[in-house]
This record gives sequence, structure tokens and C-alpha cells, in this order.
Amino acid sequence: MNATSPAAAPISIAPGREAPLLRPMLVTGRAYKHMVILLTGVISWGAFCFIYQGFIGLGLTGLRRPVFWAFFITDFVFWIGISHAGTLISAILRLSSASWRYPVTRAAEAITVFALGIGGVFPIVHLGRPWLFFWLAPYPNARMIWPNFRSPLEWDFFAISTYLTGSALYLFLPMLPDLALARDRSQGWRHRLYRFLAMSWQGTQQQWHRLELAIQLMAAVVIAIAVSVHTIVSWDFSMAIVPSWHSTIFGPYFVAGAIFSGIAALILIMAILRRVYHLEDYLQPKHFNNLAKLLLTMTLLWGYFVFAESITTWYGNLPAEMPAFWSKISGHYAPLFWAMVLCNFVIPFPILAIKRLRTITGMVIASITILIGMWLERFLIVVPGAATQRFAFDNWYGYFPHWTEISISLATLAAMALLYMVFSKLFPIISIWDVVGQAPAPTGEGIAEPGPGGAP
Amino acid sequence: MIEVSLRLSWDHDLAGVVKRLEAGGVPSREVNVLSRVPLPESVFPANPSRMSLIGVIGALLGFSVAVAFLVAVTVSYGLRTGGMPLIAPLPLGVITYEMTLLASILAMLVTLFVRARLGPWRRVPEHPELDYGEVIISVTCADLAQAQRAREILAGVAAGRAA
Repeated sequence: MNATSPAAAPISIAPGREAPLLRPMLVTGRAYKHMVILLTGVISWGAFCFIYQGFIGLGLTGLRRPVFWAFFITDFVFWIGISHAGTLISAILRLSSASWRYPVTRAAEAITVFALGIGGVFPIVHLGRPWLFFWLAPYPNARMIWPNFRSPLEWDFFAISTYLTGSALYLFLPMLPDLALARDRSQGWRHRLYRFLAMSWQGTQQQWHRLELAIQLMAAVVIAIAVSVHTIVSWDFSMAIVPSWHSTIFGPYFVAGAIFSGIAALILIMAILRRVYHLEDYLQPKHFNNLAKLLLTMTLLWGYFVFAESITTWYGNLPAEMPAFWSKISGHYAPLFWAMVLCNFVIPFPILAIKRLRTITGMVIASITILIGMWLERFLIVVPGAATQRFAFDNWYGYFPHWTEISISLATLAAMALLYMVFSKLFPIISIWDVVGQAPAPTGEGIAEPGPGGAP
Repeated sequence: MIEVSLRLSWDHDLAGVVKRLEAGGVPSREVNVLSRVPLPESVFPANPSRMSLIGVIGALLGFSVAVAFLVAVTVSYGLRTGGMPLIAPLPLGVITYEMTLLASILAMLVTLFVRARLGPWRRVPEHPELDYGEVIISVTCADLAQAQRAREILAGVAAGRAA
């Protein structure tokens, strides 16, 4: 028997207030469907290019001696950087008890999982024989050769798989209460899906205490992982004795750049979500304003890093370094370099620093330019150092991307958008229990809840 | 198992209701207070948890497994290093670091699932009527007599609230 009866006492939160946050999952407009078709088309084209490239071989691309890392590795570093938007930022805000984080964290954490998945694909796309990608995994292959644990590429495997696991869990665990809510409010296949994903969450106080503690502890661990991941990605370059790659500053420089591009991606996606799903009541100007201040800090930090790296190289005047340096400042790659400075500093700085310009539209413009600038930055780290002639060989080629490389890169951009759209249809994109349900302090004396098993 | 439940608002004396159930002979482990959001710890304080300790133990375990794995593999399948040491602590330390943190996270995850009784295989009563601003006092009864007792107590609470 169920003795449930309606509550007579007034409640502080009106019932059904979660409805606006569940609505994006249930209402699918025509524009959404058209967008899905368009993005699927772009992804299919990219998949075709990848298969075509596998059939012909990597010689199809613009990769020529000595530039063996170019577009795909640029994309790899870029997407791993974007992935720092979510888990790292969310974890820092959670640990610092920043109360304005509530509507932001879920959207941010989802970016991490998808960007990391996409970024992790690029080393495979970059392989000459991608069907042998599992040779990266640490087990003896057919010739009893184990992976070389000294290789930074092997470190990538461990770092990215650890970060992906941690980030996926960090996204999933805070979703449990919302999945249970969706389970209770849904029927049919959605009910079965949410019942499975909710992991039998009931909302007992025992469960709440354990969940909040687990999220808090994981936040601390995830920060340590996130910092290590982009440091290790930077070591892919700085461990090599290639001019403009071999730098001690690359670890923090990459981490700062990753957070920089990550915040820009987060602002852009939040603005899109706000407009498309009419979430103006939840994603408010103050949230954008707070993120814009973080972005302004990172703009300055990025400028500082670029200046410090450039002046050290210029002052050192090492013969091996200078051709690559001048190719960026005034040579072949100068247009890209100065475009990068324009996009990462000159345009966003006044927009973010001047209060009158720091509107949501202004922040979106700044974020788009920063994302373009950060992709250029990754490209300028990867390519000029390898492309600049260091030896007196005649067959020293430059690099120009093939259309298949551009197509595959654009396809991953479409994949990111599509994954995010599908995610927002299946799961609440804003943490409902965080945003809607902040309980007031009830009356009554305190007693310990009779937990089923004690600690832990 | 029979579930007897009562929906109440947040501002009700929830602790008092739980006390009355316990006084009425309902085992405390069978009483749960369900809510859509965590209630303040001043009302239902958290039991002491060893999750952080288990996280540290998981990290130590991960560290040990990583070191054993990397050293065993490096020695068993030695690469030509040109006179450099076969076991290189710093490069292996990078992988060890990642495996240590991964094991720590997994240990905390398992602890959460066990102690919070989570898992897709479990079947629990669903309460679609539960809203924000409310709680459900849920009593899982082993037999009809206990269910009758719990029902009477909760009915008394509901009557008192209506009055």
C-alpha cells in the first residue's frame, strides 16, 4: 500500500519548475532536424575522405618530408585543449564553491567528453595504417614488441584514456539525480533508458551524502589529471630536439592555452544553448560576465606566454632556432602569426576589458576569434618548426594541406556539434537539481539518518 | 517487501517523523527520506565516510600495479637503449602518475556504488509524484504487521499536518 498524500504545507519551489529544463529534451523543431541532416552529411563526407585516405595512403595528404605532423596533429592538440573547458573549469569552480557555476557545469563537462573523444581520434586518423591503432595499447603484439613506454606518444595514450574515463564519470555522476527525475517523468523507451542510467537512484539522504562527497573528491583528482594531460601533449613536441618545439615553457603554456580556448568554447556553446533552447532565465548575463572575466585573465596570460617565449628565442639568437622564429615573425608564416595575435589578443582584449563592450554578443565574437586564433596557434607550433630548412638537402618541402585533411577537420567540427545536439536531446543540459532545487533550511531538530550500513 | 510512504513538504518536522517511526518499532535501516535535492546536513547529518581513505588506498594500489607492470614489461621485452638505463624512472613515472589517479577514481566510484546502493540491476520503487520542495518518507516493511504499524504512524503524521 502506498499512503502517499499531497503536501498541504506551502513549498518554496513551485512544482513543475523543472519543466523549462526538460523541454529541450522533448520538443524537437524542424530546424533541429535540418541541422542534424546537414551535420550528418558533413560527417559522412569526412568519413569518406578518411576511407579514401586509408585506401590511397598518407601520401595523399600534404605531409612531405620533413613535415610529418601538420593538420591532424594541430586538430589533435586543438581538441584536447578545448576539452579543458569542462571538467577542469567545473572542478575548479566546484572546489572553490562558486555558486554561479550551477547552470554552467553540465554544459562544460559535456564539452570535455566530446572534445576529448574527437581529439583522441586524430592520432588514429594520422596513422598510415589506422587499422593497426591497437598497437598503441600496451600488450605484446604479433612480433612480441611492446610499446615504448619512453615515448611521449605512449604517455598520450595513458593520459587521454585516464582523462576521458575521469571526465565521463565526472559528467555522469552529477547527472544521476536528474536521470532519476527524467525516469520518473517519462514513459516508453525513454523511461527504460533513464531507468538503466539512473542506476536505481532514489534520492535517499545516504545517497546524496555519498554522491556529493564523491563529486568533491573526484573534482580534486580530475584537476590533477587535466593539468597532466595537456602537459603531456606539450611534451609530444618539447621532448623532440626540433627548433621551436624544444622548450621548457611548453607545459604551462599549453595548459594555459587549453583553458583559454576551453573557456571560449564554453561561452560560445552557452550562448547557442541560451538562444536555441530559450534558457535566458538560467544562463544569465552574470554567468557570461563571470566567464568573460576568466577569459580576459587567460587572454593576458596567453599574451604573456607568447611574449616570454618569443623574446627568449629572439634574445638567445641560436642559429638553429632563428629560421623558424623569423618564418613566423616576418617570413612565410607571418600572416598566420599576426592573424593569431589579432584573434587571440587584439580583438578580444578590448571587448572583454571594456564593460560596455562585454555584452553576450561581444563575448560570442571574442570567443569565435579566440577559437580561430588558438587553432592557428596550434598550427604555428606544429608546422613551422618542422618545415623550416635546417639541412642542405634539396628535397626539403614546405606544407600545404590537402582537401581531404580540411574535410576531415571540418567533419570533426560537425561531429562535435552533432554529439552536443544529441546529448541535449537525451539529457538535461543544465543540472536541474543544482539550479531548481536548492532546499531551504527546514525546521525540526537534527537527528542522524538511519543509514543502512554505516560508513563509508 | 511492502513500501509504505508519505509525501511531506520540506518545512515539516522530518526528523520528528523519523523518530516517531523508530519509536513505533520500525527498524531505522528501513526508513528512508527521499528528496530531489540534498537536505541540509543540520537535519540529516552525513554518516562518517571513508571514501577519501579508499581513494588513497586505490591510488596506492594503482601506483603499485603500474610500477610492477611497467618494470616487468620493460625488463621482459627490453628495447635497445644505446647504453641508457633500461628502466627509466622519469618516463615510467608519467604513466605511473596517470594509472595512480585512474585507480583512485575507480576506487571511489566503486565505493560510491556499494555504499549508496547504486546499480542498474537493482529495482527500486519509483516516485513520480515527488516534487521539488517535498520529501517522501519511505518505509520498507518486511511483513503486513510492520506495514500496518508504519501506516498508522504515517497516517497520524498526515492527520496532524492536516489539522
